Amino acid sequence: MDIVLRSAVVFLFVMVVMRLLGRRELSKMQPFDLLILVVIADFVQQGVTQQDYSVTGAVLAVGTFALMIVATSWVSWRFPRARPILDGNPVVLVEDGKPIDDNLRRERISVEEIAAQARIQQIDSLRKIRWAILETSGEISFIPKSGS
Amino acid sequence: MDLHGRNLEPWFRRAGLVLLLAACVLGLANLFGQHTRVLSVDAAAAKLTVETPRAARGGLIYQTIFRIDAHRDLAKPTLVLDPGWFDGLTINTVEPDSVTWGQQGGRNTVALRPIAAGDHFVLRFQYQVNPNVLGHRTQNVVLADGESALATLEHAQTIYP
Repeated sequence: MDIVLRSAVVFLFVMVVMRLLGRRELSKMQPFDLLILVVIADFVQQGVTQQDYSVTGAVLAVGTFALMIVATSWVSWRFPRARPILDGNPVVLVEDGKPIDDNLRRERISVEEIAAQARIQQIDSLRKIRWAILETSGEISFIPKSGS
Repeated sequence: MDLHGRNLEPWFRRAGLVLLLAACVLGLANLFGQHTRVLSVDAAAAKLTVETPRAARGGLIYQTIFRIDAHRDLAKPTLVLDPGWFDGLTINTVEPDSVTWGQQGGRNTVALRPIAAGDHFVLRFQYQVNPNVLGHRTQNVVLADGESALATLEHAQTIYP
């Protein structure tokens, strides 16, 4: 019984932590960030399985995680009001070529970083951007101004 | 043609999820260990109570408690334990450790200090299941006073892979 409960609690805890970390950290991982995530995964493993070396324990832990993933995605699909809590909302970073400072500060993204992302999308100037939106996946999508 | 049979895919997925759910529900119901259960046998001379898990898994740490409530003076109380209490299990500690180990017909015996009528004795074993062990095992325990058996408690344990 314990391993199922531990898995469920740790899943919810990790979900909360990932939401607190913010999308930027998850979408743009540097080698150090990747290392930190691996270390977190190791801590999670110790907390969930502890001294359990059994296949049965692994099946229960993985099964619980899988069911929790399905449950949260179902809740997100079935109850739109829960979606901002579970997945977050898209955030507008640039509107009509002008960075929105409050949103940039909240997401800890600099104008230079947006400009770099825009260049990857073949957009050489923020002035040519109609909308730059930080999606719930952590990606920044760009909608250029018409004619640019 | 490419979509032939695709309409069955969601049902296979749902069936798999139902299986996972069933496994987790059985896990919550303690089918796979290691929730302890209490068994006891009350004889004229003494009552023997054992608290131990019915199921366990490789690597798990758990505790077994033997409690003897003496109804009369027991001069040489002894627990006679089946090999299932030892095979593939690591005993981390035994409390109190001032017991005397022996053998009786291939079974391990634990000789305890004398117990006066109305008194009780509690013996704790801290176990860890060796990771490569699995299967069903008999874990009967006999409470004896010297050579004479007072009570027998039948128990079995399943170790899941």
